[in-house]
Amino acid sequence: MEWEYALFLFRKMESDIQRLIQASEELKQAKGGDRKRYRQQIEKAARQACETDLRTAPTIAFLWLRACYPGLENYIREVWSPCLLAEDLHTLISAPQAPPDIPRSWRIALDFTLPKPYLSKDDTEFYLLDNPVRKEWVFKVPSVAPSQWKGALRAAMVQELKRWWQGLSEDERKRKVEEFAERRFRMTLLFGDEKGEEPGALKGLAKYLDELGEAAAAKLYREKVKAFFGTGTEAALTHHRGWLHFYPTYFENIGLEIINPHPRDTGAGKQPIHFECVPAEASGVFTLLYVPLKELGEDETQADFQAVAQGLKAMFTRYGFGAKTSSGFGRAEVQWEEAEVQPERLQEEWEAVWQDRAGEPNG
Amino acid sequence: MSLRIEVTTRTPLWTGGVGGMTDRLHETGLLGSLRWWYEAIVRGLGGTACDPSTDGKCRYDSRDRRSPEEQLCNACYVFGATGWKRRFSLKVIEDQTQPVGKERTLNVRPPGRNRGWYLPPGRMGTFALEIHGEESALQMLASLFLFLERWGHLGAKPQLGYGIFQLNNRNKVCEWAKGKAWIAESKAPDARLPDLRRFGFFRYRLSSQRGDWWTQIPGLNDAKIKDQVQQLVHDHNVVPVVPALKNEWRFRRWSGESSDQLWMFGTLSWHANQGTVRVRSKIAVSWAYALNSHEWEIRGWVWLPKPNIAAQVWKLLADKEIWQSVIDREGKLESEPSGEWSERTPEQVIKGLLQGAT
Repeated sequence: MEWEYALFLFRKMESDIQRLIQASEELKQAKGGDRKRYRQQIEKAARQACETDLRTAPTIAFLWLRACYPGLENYIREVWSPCLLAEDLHTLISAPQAPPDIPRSWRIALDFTLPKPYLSKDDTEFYLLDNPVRKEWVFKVPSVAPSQWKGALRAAMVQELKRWWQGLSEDERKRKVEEFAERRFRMTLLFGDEKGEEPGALKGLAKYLDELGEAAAAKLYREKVKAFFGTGTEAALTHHRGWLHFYPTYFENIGLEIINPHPRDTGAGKQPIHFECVPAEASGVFTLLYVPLKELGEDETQADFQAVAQGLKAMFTRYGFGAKTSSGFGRAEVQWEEAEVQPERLQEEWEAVWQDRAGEPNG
Repeated sequence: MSLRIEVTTRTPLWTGGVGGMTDRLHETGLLGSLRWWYEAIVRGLGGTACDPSTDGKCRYDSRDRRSPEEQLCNACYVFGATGWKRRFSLKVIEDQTQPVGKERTLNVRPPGRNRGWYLPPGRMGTFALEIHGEESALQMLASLFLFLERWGHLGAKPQLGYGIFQLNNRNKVCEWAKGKAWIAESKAPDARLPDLRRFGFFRYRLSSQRGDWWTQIPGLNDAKIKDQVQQLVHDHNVVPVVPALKNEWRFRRWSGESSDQLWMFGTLSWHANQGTVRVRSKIAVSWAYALNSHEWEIRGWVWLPKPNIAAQVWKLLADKEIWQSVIDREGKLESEPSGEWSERTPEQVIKGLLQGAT
């Protein structure tokens, strides 16, 4: 019995791979019509090897050939693309159920569809392509990790803050310093402390927001954080976790995108670059839970909800999520009317945001 | 800030895709052509634009004390580089384009050719671009689109006639473009890289009340493809005249060295230092497209980086007699520069091509 699945698969497709190798050797010597025949044999052998297990066998065949017969692995890649596109993968993990009622908490769950493909990069070293889409570790289902959602939403909300701030006149900014600081402070509570917040050595997001709002707003922001956590006398801001909890999203399809950079001197592309993606028309479920870790008033809870709702709208429709968002990838069409918002009293606020009836998030 | 650009294609648009077909308009394909032209303009103005597909391309290192403008060339600053995001985002919206020609590749074989030219189906119709970014980037893009509408192309395969378009909200784009000031610098041209100082442009206009004026063009009356071409004329008001023109220039009128012919018109096997490479044609000529019920236009450009053959090539392309003999219709040929070939100065690039496009 084979304990190693990869070895097991290789044994099953070994004869196909040997036929591929043999045909490629014959191709080197062949002329005229024979060349077409040997190419067909190669394609057939490669296809049969892949069909041993559509999900795993192509990668094993590709890597083995690359190690032992460099150059021949491209035949696997050439036939692999159509196999992948025809395959529908099954969602194995369902969307999370509603948690028990927690005071002052709220939850958003919405369905969305991708009008354009979604790109991301998986960590795996051993794959058929240089750019596999990120997948759930065990079942290899394309997914968006909670950390990705958190990063994308935070980035969208920071960009919206910037857009609002830079749209103000010089005089308006002087009057709204407190509002800038409050919005920044609320984001810190939602997402956790800012990256790069080290006294005397600011960098990253902390430095960026300090420069954006300037010194007065930065000072006010830090006073708010220290007052909230009762660390007024300490120089450094306390580390704290955010109040938002993100859940993974899984998709049922995998597709391919391709780009072909053209050198400027020849004008002809040399090596197309494949990107695995979640294709357009794929759908997923986004879920978010808000649990404040301190006593809050109803107004503050509602303000946080409004800010996050606007951030979600900006993330899905304007800024995107995943990779290559500036090239149109990673946008979503949200079925906001059918979104599940709990508690229901926040439903009206949700609709106001999506119908553009809500104003700027209050600080 | 945001800029909306509304486009109608005049000839098929090709932006690539998996499987060798343009399944939809790919933003990456459009961005590639925008970047290519912007680089040609920057170099044409005497500025610096690297080749982003080579190892010598720009990189931005945030730990480097130099500013982004100092670490990156003009093109990479706007269009992005390793460590530096593009200054704008671009998205295709309201895509009403459709595949042309029943999604079958058109094989046009002028007389004397065995293989001929293969014209894969592109997409035609209307679409819009939603562009968000810094004000200066949007001003530049507006100016760039005006230039491309008049002189250039969008997407890939310009050498086969793809990518001519018109702007539907031209006034709005012009307003944005007014904010862009092009500045001349002094770097000399690099023969390896497209440089607008060494580009020639041409435009041929013909009149015909008859819808079948194209039937005498070599290769298009072939029984195997005549119906396909007729469909293109009927559905999209375009005629694929590229093979006939290129056949005439390359195989019937060329009198120079064969190596120069391969290099100018393109080849699948050019012997370079790094081995055998493909070389794209440096001559782009569009399909004929209808301006109105009785006027048609064909336009194109040529990149002439080799001074020793530039005049010879230009003379060939700007020869009205050749155009008339191929198109079989009397027409008006305009060329820029007019008359004999001459390389432009950066100032002439600004005045004649960039400002002249608004």
